Amino acid sequence: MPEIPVDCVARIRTGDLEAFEALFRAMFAPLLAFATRYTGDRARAEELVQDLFFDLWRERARWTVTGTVTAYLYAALRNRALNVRRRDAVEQDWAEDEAHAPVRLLHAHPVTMDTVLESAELLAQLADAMARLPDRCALVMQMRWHGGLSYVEIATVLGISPKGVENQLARGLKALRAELAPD
Amino acid sequence: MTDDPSFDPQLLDRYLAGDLSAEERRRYELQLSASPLNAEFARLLPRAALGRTVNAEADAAWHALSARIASAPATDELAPHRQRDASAITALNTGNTAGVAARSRRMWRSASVRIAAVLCIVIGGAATWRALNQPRDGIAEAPFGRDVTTTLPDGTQLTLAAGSRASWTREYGKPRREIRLEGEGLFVVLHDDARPFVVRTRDAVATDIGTRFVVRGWAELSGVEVAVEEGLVSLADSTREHTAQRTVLRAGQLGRLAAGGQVMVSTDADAALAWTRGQLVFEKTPLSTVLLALSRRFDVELRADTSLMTRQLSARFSAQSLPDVLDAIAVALSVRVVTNGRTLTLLPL
Repeated sequence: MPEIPVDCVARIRTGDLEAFEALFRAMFAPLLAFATRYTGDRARAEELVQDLFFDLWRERARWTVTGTVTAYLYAALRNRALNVRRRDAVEQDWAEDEAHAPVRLLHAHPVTMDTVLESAELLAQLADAMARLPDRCALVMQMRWHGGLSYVEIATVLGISPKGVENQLARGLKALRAELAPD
Repeated sequence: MTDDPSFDPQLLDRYLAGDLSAEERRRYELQLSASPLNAEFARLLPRAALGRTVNAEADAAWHALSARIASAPATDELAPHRQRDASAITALNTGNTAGVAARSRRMWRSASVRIAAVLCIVIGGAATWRALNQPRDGIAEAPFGRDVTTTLPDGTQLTLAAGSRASWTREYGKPRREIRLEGEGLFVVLHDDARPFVVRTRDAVATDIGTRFVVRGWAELSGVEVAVEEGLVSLADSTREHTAQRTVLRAGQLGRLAAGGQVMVSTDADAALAWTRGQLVFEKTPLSTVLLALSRRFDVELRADTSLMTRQLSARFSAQSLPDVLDAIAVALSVRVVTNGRTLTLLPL
């Protein structure tokens, strides 16, 4: 869980560069991962994150946050990805209710468990499975465990229902675990 | 895939998000002990989910951001007089002919360029007004840390490597298209027999006969180099420009103008062209040269113990961050990297 000063927004508003650095360092990795998944382009994602913080600092005197600062950052970053073409593709099917479709890994390949896999291999396998999850599911997971957002916050950022968030997480976790489980 | 009753995804989620109640924690621990798979999954998942971002990357990103903040004009300040802004400004002032496509910093740049353009008209007054209606001398610059692509008055595309500068006069295209280059640039030229395209750098003259080539005139190189990707380019010492002593280079060839006016031709164009594809290639390059190239590319200060400067590096990097590149160099040359603010120093192990 990232270490963010509690009064960070108030401190940044008064021009406290140290608080700003702490926020940036705490949130850089999770926001970068999120934006990379969103845009499909790591360089572009880095640019989006940097531009977001640059503008925050420039406009700091007028900066207000309702809710938590982490949720604010995710929402702001998603808004900034508006001009990124891939976002449309990622979000295209979000309008449809996700309650019924089970989460399946894309292009899942059969897992061979005839030997006991080493941890490193398992980890690589799991990371690979994460990469093959549907975007929506992966984004929810990142916001939840990386950014520490609540179901309601994630739902607000992505424009889906809190129940949908819960379902995404549960089904995503089952799909990942099944990837490791011998049948 | 069947559901395993021993696995409650919601418990694992709440554990990973860090908000298990005491009661839930007991149930979560039961879940872990119910199957080794559950325990292994819970242990590995956070690491798989966190991805591969390392602290060094956050460091580098913070350095980049704080440098950008430091060099940006304050919001309530009208005049952006920092050196960094000058690159965009000068490119804009060339009579609407040069557009700067910056890979990053688009938003703040466009705002400061607008302010700069307004200032320029106010300060320049009548002279500026006249100049806007005529072709003018032009300059394009790429600051350290960033390549800049610009379009010359005739439509030729010029990509300047970080730390380079190009200039031309108002006589450009009448009929000769002549560019002066400091540093390194990729030229994509629309060939026109009636209007020869000429690049001058240091003591060399490169004349385009074809289309796509790189001219490198860095001070640290022993001689100016021209690498041809497509078409034909002729290279000559500037004192022999009007004689027949010029060497014609073809696609894939690299010409190096040695002292005395001789041109050595090899087939190493690829390494010299690598930066135009976002790569960095070194082939038996002395560390001193490597460090100069890296400091321009990443806008950092790099130093090394003098005993290391002549060590040679052969490496190919594609779109890697500075920490990744330095890690690789540290391994390849058996050195260690010491960071002190924005200065990085390579020392013997």
